[in-house]
Order: sequence, then C-alpha cells, then structure tokens
Amino acid sequence: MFQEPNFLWVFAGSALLAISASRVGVFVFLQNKSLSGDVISHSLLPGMVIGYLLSGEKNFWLLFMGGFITGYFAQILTEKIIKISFLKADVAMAVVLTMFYGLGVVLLTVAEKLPYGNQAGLSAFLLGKAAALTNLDVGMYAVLTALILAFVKWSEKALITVSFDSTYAKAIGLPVGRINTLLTSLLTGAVVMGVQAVGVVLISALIILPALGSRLISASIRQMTSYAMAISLLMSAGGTVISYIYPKMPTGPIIVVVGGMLLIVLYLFRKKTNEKYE
Amino acid sequence: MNDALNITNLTAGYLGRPVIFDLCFTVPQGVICGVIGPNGSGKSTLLKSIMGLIHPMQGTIQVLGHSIDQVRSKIAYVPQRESVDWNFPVSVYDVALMGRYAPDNIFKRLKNSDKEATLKALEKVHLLEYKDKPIGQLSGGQQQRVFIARALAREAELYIMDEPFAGVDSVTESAILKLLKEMKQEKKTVVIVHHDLQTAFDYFDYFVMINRKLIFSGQKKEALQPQYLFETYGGGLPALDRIRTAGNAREEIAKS
Repeated sequence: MFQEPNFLWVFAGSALLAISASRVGVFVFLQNKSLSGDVISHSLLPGMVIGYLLSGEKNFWLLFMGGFITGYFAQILTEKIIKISFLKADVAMAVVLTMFYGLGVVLLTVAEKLPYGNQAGLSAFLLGKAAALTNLDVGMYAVLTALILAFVKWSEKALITVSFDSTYAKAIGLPVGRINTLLTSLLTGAVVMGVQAVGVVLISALIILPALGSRLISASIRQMTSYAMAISLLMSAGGTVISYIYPKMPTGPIIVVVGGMLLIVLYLFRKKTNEKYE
Repeated sequence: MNDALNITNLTAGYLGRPVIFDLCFTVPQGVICGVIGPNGSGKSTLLKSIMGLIHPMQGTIQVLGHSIDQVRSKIAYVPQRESVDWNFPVSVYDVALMGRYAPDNIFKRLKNSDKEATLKALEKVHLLEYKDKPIGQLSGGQQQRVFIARALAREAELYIMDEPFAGVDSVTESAILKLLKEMKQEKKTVVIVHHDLQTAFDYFDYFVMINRKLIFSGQKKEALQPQYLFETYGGGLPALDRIRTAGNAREEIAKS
C-alpha cells in the first residue's frame, strides 16, 4: 500500500488539507463562527463554475480564485446583514448560503451541458473526489498550506487577542477589522482548497471537528493547535487507508466519519475544566 | 501639565440615539476618580467614548492633552469582567501579557522586558503562582485581578476601569484598593466606573457624577453635597433619605 504512488498522493493531499483546515479552524471555532465554513463552502460554487467557464478547463488556480472571490464575498455579505439588519445570524447565514449555492447549481448544470463540460467531472465539487488527487494537486496544496501556516503564525497573537476580547483589542488600537479580514481570507483559502477533495458539504467538518475534539482535551491554545492538527492527520490517515483497503468506499466521507468517531472517543476522555481553585 | 481628561460638549450614544448629553468636565492628572451614577446613566457609554470605541455625536475628548489615537500606549483599559468568555483556552499569563501588546509589536516577537513587566504585574495582584492556570479555573475575584494585571503590565499613565469592584471577594477588593493607593503615590491617574454609592466615598478622591447629563465633577469634599446625590440618583435610594432626614434635622436644630 505504501509503495503505491496513487495512495501516497491521496494521503499527502488530504493530510496537507487537514493541517491547513484544522489550523485555521481553531480560531474560527474560538470565535464562535463554526458555521462560516459552511457559508463559504456552499457559496464558492458559482465562483468555481464561472472560473471553469472562463477557462474551459479545470485550471486549479482559476477555479481557486473564482471560488475564493464568491466564498469570501458571501461571508462578508452575511456579516454585513447581521450587523445592519434585525436578522439573527442563523437566518442571515441560511439565506446567503442557499442563494449562492442555488446559483452555483444552476451554473453547474449549464456548464455540464456544454460539449467539454462532462469530462471535466465538475460534479466532484458537490461530493468531492479525494481519491482523484494527483501529484499536481499535492504540489498546489503544499504551496497553499505553507502560505496559510505562515500567515497564522505571523498573526497568531493578534488572532488570539481579538478572539478573546475584541473590545480590548480595539481599545489598545489593534486593527481589529483587518485582523478579522485576514482570518476570513485564511478560512476561505482553506475551504476552497479542500472542496475538490471532500466536497462542498463535508469540508466544514475538516474545519470544525479537529478544533472541537482538541478543545475537549486541552487547556491552552498551544495544546489545542497541536491536538487539532494531530486529530486532523488521524482523520485523513484513517480515511485514506480505509478507502484504499475497501476501494468502493469514498475517501472524503470516510475521513469525516473517522473524525466523528474520534470525537466520540475524545468526549469520553474530555478534560473537566470546571473545578475551581482557591 | 495636561489634564488626564478634558471633555467638552460630549454627546454620545448608539444607533443615532444619544445616551449622554452635553458633558463638560476635566479630570486632572494624579487623582483616583470615580465616575458614578445609577444604572443606565451612561457611565459605560462615557468610557467607550473616551476609549474611542464609539464615536461622539458631538463634542471633543482630549486624553492626556491629545486625541486618544495618539496616546493609546499610555492608557490601560479594564473592560467589565462579564464582557469576555472565561472558558477561553488561555492562561493567566497569556491574558496579562496582552497588556504589552500594541499595534507596533503585535506582529513581532515580544521583548524580555515585556515578559518581566507581565510577571511583575501578576505579582502585584498576587497571581504569580497561578500564572500557568487556565483562566477558566479562576474565581470571579481572581479573574478581575487578571484583568487588572493586564492593565498594570502596560505601565501606563492613565488607567480606565469599568466596574472593577463588581461582584469581587474581599481579598480582591483590598488588593485593588492597595494598588490604587500605590498608583496615586506614583502620580498615575485612575478613572473608575462605579455604581455603589456606599463605598464610592471611601475609594475615590475625585468625582464625576452623571445621570445622562453631568451633575457634578470635582474634588471629594465638594462632592459630598446631598443635592448632587439627589440629582444623580433621583432620590430613589434609602441612603439618600437618611442624608436628607439628617440634613432636615440639622436645619431644624439650627432654626430652633
């Protein structure tokens, strides 16, 4: 199995994806924005299809840019709606998410009817196709993962301060708006990168499951970050190995199911943080 | 020397509705100033305006003689304890260290002097031995002291605190009072929002009394007039009734 190049590419690709998603996911989780991943993943669909229609082929960076633009725009739109209207966050998210996703499915149907559309396997966006990851994809994933990790490291103090106490962050003059923009961009980057592997619906599991699982057993952000990465690596290893042994099993969904089972185990071994001292 | 605060014609509020109207007052440097008033009197709105967290609808605010953005490094702000999630996975030290953060070092490595100042601040609030504890494991009073340590770590000139005495134990209360005395000796200025009238006159030596408008600002000896307390609290407090009765009795004795 480990000599099989295809298996290795799939494993490397999903591991890189898991690392980026979980690193960003810790902060998304701590800011109580866990559903933002869903908003972005559904809303990137029209952008990706437009990127495809413009190029006429599945060019990774064009699809990435297209998806990034509509996904990011949808998230900003949701935040604006929550801020200026009487709508609650869940309603605003549901409205934006379904509108963008609906538009995406319409465009996708159009694109697939085009003469060159069918072979491109555009429907992989919906459910993902991790087993089809190639050495080219893995190269792009490595570049994106390195970028995401570098940005998070660079802004980590700011992200922690804003997530913990944004009023204080404003009071000491930190550029809170720009720091949040950075986090949204990193989240969008991780989501768009992962969609081709695990699909629109499941990508947010890679963002949130590792963060939640690590939160159950850790007391500091440093611990949480390393546990989240470990959990996400276990998920991707479990998923790729199982779907290799049973070739009919889809890799992406198996990764998420493994994550869910890990979560149950971690819940049983969770840390009791309620005891007070003094 | 510039006033710590110089506020002229300040009107501020939320969503176009003013909460405080036309406030004019100054707070000199080196005082421990209590901002007092009943619930809903606009104390927090005033603090948020001073910190530039909301924009005034009208009027000007000078902090240490400048606009707030020019002097943020000299100001330490202590928000209300309930304003954050205390289950957030950070340690006591992590929070206190945030006192050293500023726009020019947030994306860089911190210096050793930052770490030393943080440890010194934790020692002052008796939390040094708890420095690696997650903040979720602290009592309410200890949490308040973490916030104060974060402000002390800043080594600021002006400290602005929103209800630091709210719901704290007596250990914390006396620790904060001792710190206030030290800060006064070091000629620092402290502005504290406080709603408990019973204790206000023990804690502070300078007063700003508001009830959506300015009622009084000045030294403690002038602040102790019943008329100001009536205007501030609208005569709805039993303590005020006692002062009023005592005042009437004194007048009657004087007449007879």
